[in-house]
Formats: sequence, structure tokens, C-alpha cells
Amino acid sequence: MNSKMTERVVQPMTRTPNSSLTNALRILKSFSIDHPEWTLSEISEVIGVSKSTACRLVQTLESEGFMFQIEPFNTYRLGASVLALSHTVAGQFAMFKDTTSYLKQLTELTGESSHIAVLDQAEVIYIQKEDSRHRVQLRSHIGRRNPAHCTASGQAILAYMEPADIEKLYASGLASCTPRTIVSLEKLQHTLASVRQQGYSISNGEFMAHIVSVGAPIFNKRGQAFASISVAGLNKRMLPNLPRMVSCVRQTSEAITESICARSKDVDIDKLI
Amino acid sequence: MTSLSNEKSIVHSVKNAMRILRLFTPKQSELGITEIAEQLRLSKSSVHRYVQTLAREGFLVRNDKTGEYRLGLSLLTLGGIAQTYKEIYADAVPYLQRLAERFRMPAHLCIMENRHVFYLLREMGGSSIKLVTKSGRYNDLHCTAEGLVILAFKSADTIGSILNKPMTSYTAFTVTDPEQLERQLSQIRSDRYAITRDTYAVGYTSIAVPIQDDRGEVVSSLALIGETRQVDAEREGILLDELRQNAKEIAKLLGYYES
Repeated sequence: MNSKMTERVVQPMTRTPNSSLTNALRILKSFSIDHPEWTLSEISEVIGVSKSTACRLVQTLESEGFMFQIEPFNTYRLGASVLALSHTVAGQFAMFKDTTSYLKQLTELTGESSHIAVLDQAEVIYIQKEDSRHRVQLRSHIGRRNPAHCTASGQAILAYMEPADIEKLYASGLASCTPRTIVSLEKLQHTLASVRQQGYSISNGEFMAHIVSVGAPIFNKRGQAFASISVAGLNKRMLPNLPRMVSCVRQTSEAITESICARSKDVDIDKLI
Repeated sequence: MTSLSNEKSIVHSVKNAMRILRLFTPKQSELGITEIAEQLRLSKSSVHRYVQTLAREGFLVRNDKTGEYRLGLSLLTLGGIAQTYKEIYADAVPYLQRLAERFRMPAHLCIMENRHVFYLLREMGGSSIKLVTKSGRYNDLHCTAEGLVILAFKSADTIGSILNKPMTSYTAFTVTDPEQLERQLSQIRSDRYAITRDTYAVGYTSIAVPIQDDRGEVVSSLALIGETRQVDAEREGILLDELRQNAKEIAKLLGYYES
């Protein structure tokens, strides 16, 4: 979901009968990898409700296992129901059921973390991940959203979209993550054209300084790039081995494409997200 | 799931919406409004209302072909957050074990959260010393080396917000004066370690060093805590060397390399 859209819709909703539910869902969504715990006072501040309202919302979420309290500081974490439901969501990506072995192999070959991602608007979402022993990508996790234009995983999918659609997608501009991020549409189009030509993408510190990622597309039977595979690691390790990284990623992307296209049912790109 | 005894504290719309989400399982991954209403014994109109809100926030997605709903990606994102948190430092356990065994002092991996220091991992190393630092517990920042050594590297705003609130004096040695603590923190920044003797409980000393993550930010601390008589000046140097060496190794696990 586009965050801008939810913001626009959520704000005026706070006075409708469902506002408690909207607020409860916003509490859940306030958790992030950089903020995995919240106190009641923080929640009431962030959501903009009184402490007693926050307390009732949180206690209700707790009663269904969506949050749990750590004694004794009124501090909460996401609960077991969230974990259980996220496994159900992951199971919905049936086309990736057998790709875990490819990821494992890619990580073994390259020594770096590997990911499968799909595109939602201008963001990539990681559907599968295999950790390397380096754990560089501390903040990449399954379900994590990253801006597509500055990651290799995003560029590998964007490259196969019509330039006109790219223009529409980035009508409001390109966010800058590091000094190396591509922020002009023209330069992005140019980069995507060469990604398309060579069949792989490289992000050298465009999303996080010191991190290099290499990506390649995964196609369905109709030849649509609906997902991507990528490896990411510290530039010091990645750059000296770049040609090998590229060839490993490309080989894996081809193998996954082949196995997905060998199935009777094709992946419907419009029903993915 | 545990049910709360106090029914009054339950918000029914939220409770019902969460029950709707929990109906979805790998075996029952798509559900229509009617099915949901039947399974939860709710009216179709209220289910419709809940489902719309859930869909708007990305917790449910409508399959336009069948008109049924499935779980949305918001839940995948939250699940990843719930899981990763515990895994991040799992690889650090052997380092803590070795430290604790070698010095017969419990070794701790701590993070700062909610204005407190939080003991994420603890290895006793065979020591039977009684400490309040059980993994999962919180403690104050101002009186613990493991807390101060993280706080020292936070922004001036964060430091100010901690030091400007009243602080508990646990022993005659607890420092609660903001100015004195500011000076301590500045010393810790230049020494890159902290030691607190008898400031939380008389007879106990903590020595701690910072751990940096892949962005070079201090995110956690590595601390040995023991009896004050175990930590004389000579031993302090040895402990410090070992702590620094191990903190460097743990930082590598997190992706931090000194440039």
C-alpha cells in the first residue's frame, strides 16, 4: 500500500465509528526494525490518542495475541499472532515455494545474503531471504519494504516496465537515500535501459553507504519480470568479486525463471500484491 | 490466547477485527464476507465494515475475481519485524559464554530502549553471583556502565531528555547530578568504555564497551558485571582488552568493519 495514500485516507477517518480499529492498526504498523518496542506513552503520542485510549487499544490487541507486554515498564512488542499470520501471507506466494534451495545455494556461492523481492508501486518487498554469516543487512528482513529505484532488486524489476509507466510512478520525484542515489528521472531511465540490456542491476551504495547489491529479474511464462533475486553485502567484499557475483546472480535468476515457467499455472502479475 | 479478565478494557471493533484476521490460515487463505460472518457469528454489515478498514490499511487484500479476501502484506512486514529482533544477536552468544567463563563474571549484551538499558543476553559462565540483570530485564541508564556506554553515543537531545528527569539514587555512590553525568559521558566518549563501581548496588562493579552496527552507530553494549573486589586496576585493563576484542567480533556479525 502506498503510504501517501493511507495517510490521506486515515487522517479524516479518525472521527468515524471505525476510528478505534484504524488507530489499533496504526499502532501495529508503528513497529519497525529500528523501533521494535513501544511504551504506552509513546504509542499515545504517535497515534495521537489519550493514554487511556491507547491502553484500551493495546490491551485489546494483546488479548488476541498481536502484542505482548514486557514487565514492568508498560512496554510492548509484536506478538505471536503476527508471526503466525505472516507465515500464512508468505505461504500465499506459492510460486516461491521451491526457491529456498536456490537462495541457499546463492548465499553459499557468494558468501552474501540473498533475497527474492516483488514490486509494490515504487517499493520492493522481500518475500524470501537467506542470511549470510556476515549479517550485514541487519535491517533487511522478510516483508521489509525498500525504495525500488535505489536497490538492485528494485531496478531489476523496474527495468522491464514501460518508460512511460516509470515516469508515472516517479511523477512526484525520487527520494534520496545516500549521496549516490539516482534522483533524476532521466538518469534512472538511462540506468534502467542499461539494466535491461545487460540483464542485471548493480546498486553501489545507492541505498545504504558501503552496501553493494547485485540483482537480476525473474520472469513468468509471458515474459513479465514479476520478481527479482539479489545478493547484498559490504562493498569491500562485493566490489573485488563483482563479475563472479553478477554471474552467480544471473545463473540463479535463470534457474528460478525456468523452474517457475515449467509449472502448469502461470504467475499472474496483477494478482501478486 | 490469553484472555483479559477486565472486559471493560476491550474495544469490541478491534477485538472483532483481530478475530477476523486470525481466521486466515494456510488451509483457509481466502474468505468471503459471508463465511467470516458465519464463523464469528457477527452481522454481515459489521464484518463488511471491519474488512474495509483492514483492507485500507493493507492487512487484507480483495481478490477481484472471487470477491474474497486474503491476508495483506502489512502482516508479512510485521512478522519480519517480530522475528528478526530475536535473531539479530543470536550469533553473539558464544562470545559471551567465552568471556563469562574466562573471567568468572556474567557477560551481558545490552541495548538501550525506552529510556532504559535492556539486558538482551546474559551468560553466567558458571558464576553463581546474584544479579538483577536477567535477560529480558530493564535497568536505569545513569547508574550502570552498560547503560552509560550506549547513552554516551546518543544525540544531545536524547542525553538531555534522560538527564533532565529525576534519577534514583541507589547507593551513596550513585551519581544523579546531570552536570556530573554529562562530564562522565564525555569521558566515556573519549575512552570508549565505562566502568561503574558500587553505583547500583554496593559491592558490584560493571565494565562495558560499545558495539557498533553496520552503519557505525553504537547500538548495544557488552558488559562484564561482578564483585567490586574482582576488578582491581590491573584486572580492569585485562577485562577491557578482552571486552574490546569481543565487541569488535560481535560488531562484525552485525556488519561493522573498522575502516
